[in-house]
Amino acid sequence: MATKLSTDEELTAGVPSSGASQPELQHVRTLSRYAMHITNDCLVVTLPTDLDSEVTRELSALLNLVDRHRHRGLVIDLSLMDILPSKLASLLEQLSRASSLLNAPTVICGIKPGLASALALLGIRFDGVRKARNMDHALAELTQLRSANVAVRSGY
Amino acid sequence: MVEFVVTDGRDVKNVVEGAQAMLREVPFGRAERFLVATAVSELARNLVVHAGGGVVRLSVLEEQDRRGFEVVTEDEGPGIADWPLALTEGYSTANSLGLGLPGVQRIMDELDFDENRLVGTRIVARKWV
Repeated sequence: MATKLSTDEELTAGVPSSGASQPELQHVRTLSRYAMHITNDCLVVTLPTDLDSEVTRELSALLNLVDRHRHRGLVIDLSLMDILPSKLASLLEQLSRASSLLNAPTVICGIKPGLASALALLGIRFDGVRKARNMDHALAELTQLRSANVAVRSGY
Repeated sequence: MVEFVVTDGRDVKNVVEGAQAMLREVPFGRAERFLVATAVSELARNLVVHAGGGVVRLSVLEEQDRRGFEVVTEDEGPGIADWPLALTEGYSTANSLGLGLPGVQRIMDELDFDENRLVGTRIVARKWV
């Protein structure tokens, strides 16, 4: 039964296509402030320091990218962030849970000691979210997770 | 004293940047400056999310024997009916109603508010070196 799709993003979600569609171009524009690269099938995103209220949209665009390109993992790099508003922290928590549901586990990395103490004081724990000291560790963890998955699937 | 009118996320960003610039005049450590900026960010964001905007005043405090930083937020929103609840752990960032006030209270040395205020909310937070 067809249901009503409310946004362009939903229309293109999960539709593989080689040409860039209008909504995808929109995603690219939305996300153009983010430093992103893909390595080992994982999407690596370094968050810019000047995030504002538009961020909810941008994070859902990220989720669409993960889905569209079938990324096997998502790394969110916070190494540029000196402060992280609690609202944004809880959005990141949501994003990583959502991404895990797409079978693209998320690892948050690059939290500086100063940011760590601020997050602790704000009561933000990133429970249920994988954390790594740096990007190397994050990618290593995702690789390890993937081989563990393969092992489970093949019955070892 | 610097005053900011805050209505959206962009204004919050300006306030935080302003706070960071002013904090350089106070002999806080680097980590402490970021903590105070975090508290400013939480308080300013509350104005946008919960009160439809408001005013933030930032001041460097200089007394005879101590220096510090003050942030005052004022709004004409619905006000906070239950202060003890708003300052309770768990009623914070986990849910979307979170005001982040317990965190602000932990970061700053003083957090004052007028519990009997009839209209809006006024919060004064201070951190001393």
